[in-house]
Amino acid sequence: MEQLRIDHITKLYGRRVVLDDISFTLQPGKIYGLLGRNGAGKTTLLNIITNRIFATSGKISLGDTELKNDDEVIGQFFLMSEHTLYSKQTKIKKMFDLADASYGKFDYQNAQRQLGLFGLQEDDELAKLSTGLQTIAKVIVALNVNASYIFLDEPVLGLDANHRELFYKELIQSYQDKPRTFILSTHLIEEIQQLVEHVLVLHENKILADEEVEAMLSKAYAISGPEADVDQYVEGLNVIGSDKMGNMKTAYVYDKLDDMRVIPDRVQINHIDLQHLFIQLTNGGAL
Amino acid sequence: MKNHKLELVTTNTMRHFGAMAGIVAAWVVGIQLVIAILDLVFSQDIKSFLVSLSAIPASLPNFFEIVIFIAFMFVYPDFKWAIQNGISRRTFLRGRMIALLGSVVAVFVVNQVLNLFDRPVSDPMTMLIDFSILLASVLTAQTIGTGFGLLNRRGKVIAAIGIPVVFILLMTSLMGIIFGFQDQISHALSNEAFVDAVIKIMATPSLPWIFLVIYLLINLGLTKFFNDRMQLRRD
Repeated sequence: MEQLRIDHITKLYGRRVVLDDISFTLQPGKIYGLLGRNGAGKTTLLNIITNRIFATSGKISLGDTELKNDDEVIGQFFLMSEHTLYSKQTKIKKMFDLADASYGKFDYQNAQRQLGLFGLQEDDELAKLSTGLQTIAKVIVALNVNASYIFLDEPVLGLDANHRELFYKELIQSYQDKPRTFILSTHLIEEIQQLVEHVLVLHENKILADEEVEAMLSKAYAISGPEADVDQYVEGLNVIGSDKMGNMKTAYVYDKLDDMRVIPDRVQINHIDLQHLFIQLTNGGAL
Repeated sequence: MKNHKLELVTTNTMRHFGAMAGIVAAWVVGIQLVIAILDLVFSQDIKSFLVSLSAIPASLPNFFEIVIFIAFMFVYPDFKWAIQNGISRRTFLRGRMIALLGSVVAVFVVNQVLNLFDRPVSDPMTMLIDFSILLASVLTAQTIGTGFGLLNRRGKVIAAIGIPVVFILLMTSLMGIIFGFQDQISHALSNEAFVDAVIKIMATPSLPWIFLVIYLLINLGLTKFFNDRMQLRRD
């Protein structure tokens, strides 16, 4: 499997900039999180990578081969998206057959097992299913298709808690059975924190963060205490946000903490999770 | 895998057309059968009933030609499942062109057989002309469909209203120009040598075929141009 390079992708709709000079690399055999607020351009980016729409400028390459009209390259990608691109009468079995015919070696056995787990039948018509069940049907195709890069755009849309839990387990199982690159684009950051290894954050048309989750979280702190003490402690650090309640303050810091820095008695230092880090970063915090 | 994808597009396209043709044929035959039976019930005229039955096959060719025209006009729905399954635009177009040719041949052959219920077998030149007209029509439908595939809903409405309006305006302007050059045209038409030359050119047996080939090439070029620019729309 080769690495996927996204080089200087810009996308404009008329005069509106949706993606502005986006560049990053996806490595084989990893699970990525693609995060961003509503309207950040995540779906647009995924559509460009999978050749559904065209970028205004920039290029996408798999190894040394540029993605153009090449079936071999395009056949390495599969995008499960919110939008259903099948005709209304399409049954789940037909979705499996199309994936098998296009990509080859579709794992029918595992797909059938997963249908049973989620309470679906292969003769179910996609259009007649609820939003959540449609998502599940599409997710099952994505987990069993023979592609190297699987993009999942809102894979838990409409799923209840039980099904979400089941999906995460099946995703991990699928990844362990056959290591591929998964890219999850979702708003439920709290839930995917344990799943993803590397995170890409899209904000205001640009890549705000492109880092390993562990590395990001290792320098994400919430420093709380009396306002004056907190301000004294965080001086010189990268403060990405703050909350105040009376004279108590919590400062969110995205920086390495120096062991030499003296911690005032009444100040507490805690790590923040990925969701809180994302909120602070996209609320105007700077990296 | 590339051949599998090409095969997938071709067979799916032909299957869709086949299904449409089958449904239309069933309705056409069914309705005519019901009318014939009702006529038999009321008139008690078996001869008339049998004549009505024998006319049914010959009524199908026109419907098949309409169905194939419509079937190949709807390109965007097929494009969507093709890009969902990692099929490139190049393979998609190739698959559809193979399907188009196969379907046109199938319709032509079936129609020739069905027309035998109505008239004797046509001479080879007539068959060739019929086939060429059918091919050109269906290719035109595909070109229009592929072009419309680039447009969103508003664009389609604008095109559907705007193109005929522009066409009418162009025709009106052309008529105006012709009337403006009335004297010059009359003078040219009174020149025997000129008229003889024009008749000679127009009477060239290969001229219609040259126009046909040019027309087909233009359609193919436009189809490819539109196809290569087709994208998933937001509407």
